[in-house]
Amino acid sequence: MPYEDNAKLARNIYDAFNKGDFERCLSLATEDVEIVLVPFGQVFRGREGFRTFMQGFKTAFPDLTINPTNQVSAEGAVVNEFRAKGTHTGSLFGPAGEIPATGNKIDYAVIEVWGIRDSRLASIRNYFDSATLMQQLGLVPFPERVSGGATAFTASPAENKVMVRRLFEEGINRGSTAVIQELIGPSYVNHDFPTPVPGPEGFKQMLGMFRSGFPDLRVDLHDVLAEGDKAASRGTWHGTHQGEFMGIPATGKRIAVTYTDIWRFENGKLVENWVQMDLMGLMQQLGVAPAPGPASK
Amino acid sequence: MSEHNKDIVRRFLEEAWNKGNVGAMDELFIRDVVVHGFPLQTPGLEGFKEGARMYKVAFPDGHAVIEDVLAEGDKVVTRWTYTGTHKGEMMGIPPTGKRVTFTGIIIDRIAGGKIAEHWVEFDMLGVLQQLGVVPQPGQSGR
Repeated sequence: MPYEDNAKLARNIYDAFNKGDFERCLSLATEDVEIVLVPFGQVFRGREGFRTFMQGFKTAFPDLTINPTNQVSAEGAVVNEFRAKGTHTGSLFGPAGEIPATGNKIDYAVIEVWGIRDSRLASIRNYFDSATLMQQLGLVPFPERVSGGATAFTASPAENKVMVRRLFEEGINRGSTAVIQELIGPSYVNHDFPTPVPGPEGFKQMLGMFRSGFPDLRVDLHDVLAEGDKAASRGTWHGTHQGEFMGIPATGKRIAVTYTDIWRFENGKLVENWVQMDLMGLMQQLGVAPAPGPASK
Repeated sequence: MSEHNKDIVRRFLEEAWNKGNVGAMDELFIRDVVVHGFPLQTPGLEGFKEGARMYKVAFPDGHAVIEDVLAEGDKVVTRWTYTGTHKGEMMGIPPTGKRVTFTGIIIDRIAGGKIAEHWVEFDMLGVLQQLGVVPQPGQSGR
């Protein structure tokens, strides 16, 4: 089964779950399907076990909907990443027994590792943030935030937006390496413009590469958005082509190149980055890209 | 509301880009939608539909997979990966038969349950390089 079909099968099953169509979910699973709810140490076997597993969550959170935000497919497997969101209006049967309805809203991170066999769901290992769930159900107190940023818990989206703005405005535009050091986590990687090494050092080197081509490089931020542990920014890079860049000798041309990016935060720092940039526009502005066909893009 | 906004964008990608059901865009966009980063022959929804049709003609098996979504307020950010085989004419380029894969990040501003403004950023230069119609920069000739 091609890898994308594994992801599609998962989406079909989640859609059926969201609609409460358990029969459809069961029909897409093998007879010996096995679900392991890792944080609770619970195992559900066979199609009836699968039904019990689904029913348990739908009873506790009737408005629970699952939409994977990330899927990684491989041969015979797919990993689905999502946030479980809903309202606790029914009993939930946890490892220590029944947790009666609290009316609280839940919103916690989940990863499900699925095994696929014969185009059907054969196994699930479900990992979720049980501490956060217990806190959201009011069973365990939230820990106090440790000031200074070093905490095992994520900062708020508002704080994450401030970090992105500071990175661009202080770290990049005002050239503060101290701010880059403060905000970029040691495991930082950029998926679209790979850095030579991870972490703040890699970020600084990649920035240095852009600066050597455009010494007056600066970013105009137009928008910053955040949700959960991610933020996105949209802006325009400005600079003058005064040094060699990507093999192109200095042209002296001024550039204005739009970009949009997404950042992921961990422990109060920026650790992962995806960037899309108008490289076509950049090449055209430098006068080096032929424009094929009648349209310019 | 954020989840509903995310669904509007998901439906746009699934219907117009994956299924080629460009007509579905009528329910998802306002007529005067402003599109940034994707030049249109005609402004607004009609031009955007034309662009989506062009991509389906160029890449009949074109398929976008959503990699990441985040939403705040009236905006949704979606990162997707698009894969397709160049079997039809695209912007004056005759079909090359080449397979392309590219990533894009879009931002959609939702107003009154429809997309009112759409920003798209993707590596068009990379696409043209994958099709073999543009050389890598810095190379002499083809």
